[in-house]
Amino acid sequence: MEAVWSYLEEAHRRFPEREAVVFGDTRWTYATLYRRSLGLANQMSAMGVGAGDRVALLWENSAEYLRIYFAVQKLGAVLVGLNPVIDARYLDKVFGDCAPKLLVAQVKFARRFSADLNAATSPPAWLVDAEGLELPAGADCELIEDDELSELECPLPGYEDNSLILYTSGTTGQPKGVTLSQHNLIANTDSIAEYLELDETERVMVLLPFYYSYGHSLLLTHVAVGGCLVIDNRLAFPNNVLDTMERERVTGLPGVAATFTIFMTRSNLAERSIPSLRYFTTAGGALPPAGLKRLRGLLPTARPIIMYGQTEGTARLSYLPAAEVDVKPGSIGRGIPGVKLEVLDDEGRPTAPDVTGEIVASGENIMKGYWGDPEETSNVLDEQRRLWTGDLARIDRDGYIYVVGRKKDMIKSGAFRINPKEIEDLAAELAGVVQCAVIGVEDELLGEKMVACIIQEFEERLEIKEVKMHFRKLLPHWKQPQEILFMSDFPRTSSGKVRKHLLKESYLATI
Amino acid sequence: MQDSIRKFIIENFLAGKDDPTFKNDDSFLDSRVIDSTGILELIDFIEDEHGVSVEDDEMTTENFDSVAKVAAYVERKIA
Repeated sequence: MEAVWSYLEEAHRRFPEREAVVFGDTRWTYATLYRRSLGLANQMSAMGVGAGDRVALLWENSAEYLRIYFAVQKLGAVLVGLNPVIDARYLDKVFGDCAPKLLVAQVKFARRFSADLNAATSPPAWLVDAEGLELPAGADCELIEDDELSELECPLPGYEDNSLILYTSGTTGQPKGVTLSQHNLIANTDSIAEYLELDETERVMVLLPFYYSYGHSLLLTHVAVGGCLVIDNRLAFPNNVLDTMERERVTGLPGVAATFTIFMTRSNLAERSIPSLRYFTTAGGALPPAGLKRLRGLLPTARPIIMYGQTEGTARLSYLPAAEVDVKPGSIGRGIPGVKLEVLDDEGRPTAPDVTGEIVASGENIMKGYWGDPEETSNVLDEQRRLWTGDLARIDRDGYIYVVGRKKDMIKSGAFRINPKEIEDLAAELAGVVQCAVIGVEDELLGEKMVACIIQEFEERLEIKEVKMHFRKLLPHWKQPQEILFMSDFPRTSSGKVRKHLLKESYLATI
Repeated sequence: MQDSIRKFIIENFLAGKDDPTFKNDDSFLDSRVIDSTGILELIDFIEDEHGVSVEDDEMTTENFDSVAKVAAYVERKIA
């Protein structure tokens, strides 16, 4: 494939009348998605968007999301996929970093931050779905139109040109823009479609957000094979999602551990039958063995496929095929086609079997770098363009990898990588807080839940409710600590640094 | 009943500030006022506060996706 746009062009050529996307009552064929994407590309082009320009997108998963995504790709512009439930403070950092020319947003999200944005870094042009938005000074705004076009003259971007930026939490608390080229996306998409053996008969259940690398990989792999994306954003009500799965006869169910835990604990899945389901995939942190066993019993027709990846590797780095799930329990498998995965020590030498080292990945899917940040990039990409993932693992004699932990102080909650420092710094802004230490504690639903341990200036002045409210004002829901504890002090090193593993042990001893 | 549910939503999910544009009929999911963990908190609240027991089968958008729907559900359960 020449460019990401070519996937849609090819699907449109081969399967114009097949369904590309289903979302509620909306059903679009590939012909519809193609023509509508071209129509929108034309509108964006008239607003001044061209090759290489960044286009920030704050939109929920929907048919419309696909149209916007491919319109941006058609123009050779760079899509910046963002969590739509986000605050002005975070957006200021992102906009200051990658300077989007255009922001495409749903007003229901944009009205929460538009008035508070820094006008100096806010995108100069906005494309929205409804009237009535308070805009930063100087911004132009248009309503997104429903035009369709059958062709639009526009050169394809180069293979090494940027296609997508996805922001992740950095170790410094600053968001880092993982920058992926056309080449990166095509390499990973083709590899995933190959090992999952996807074809045009696929109907994938999309519950994962497209701004998340795993969710984004569903979008591209299914358009690449001419399959159908069945979107439902109601996972909070898993019975409604199960209705959709039955009605739409979905064939694939990708999720993170939390997705499956929600189905197993809060739905009537045990009373249902979804015989169309061919497989389920799990990534973004392990599903506990007992949960995996139970899920396989509940979804008897579906092959279980365990996967592992990072945004810096476009999405996917390894997988464990269904046939090996019982042979290598707990393993994330081996590198996907085109990806070499190694477990190396600090000197870059392969570790002996069962000795812990760091997972290091190489392949055409490894990102170009973090947007405008060569220093952070060089912290994870070496001179051979290998990605040092920060995940600690051991490798067995057959070459299968087992993740054992993380090198950096990062928390993985509900499949989001969260830097505790960001939350600790925000907590310290609250009057009466001397210091905050956020720890990740194993949790059945989230993988890890966040516990914010706080030392107060004057004991018993602050209430837990006040701290919660402070976090709710400043953080999106997925970054909010699940628990808040007041403590008199933390275990520390001789230099005063918080010893988080001891803090976690003392927390676990008290519950 | 709607006032009690709305008060809980405002205190816990809208940072304590009543938002007049947020209507009692507005979908929680569509407006992203609460997410899947928030729904659990809401269910805990109505179970504790109003003494209803929510069954797995009842956890649907029809019962829980707006202030008005939750209030109507609770009223049906305690009737």
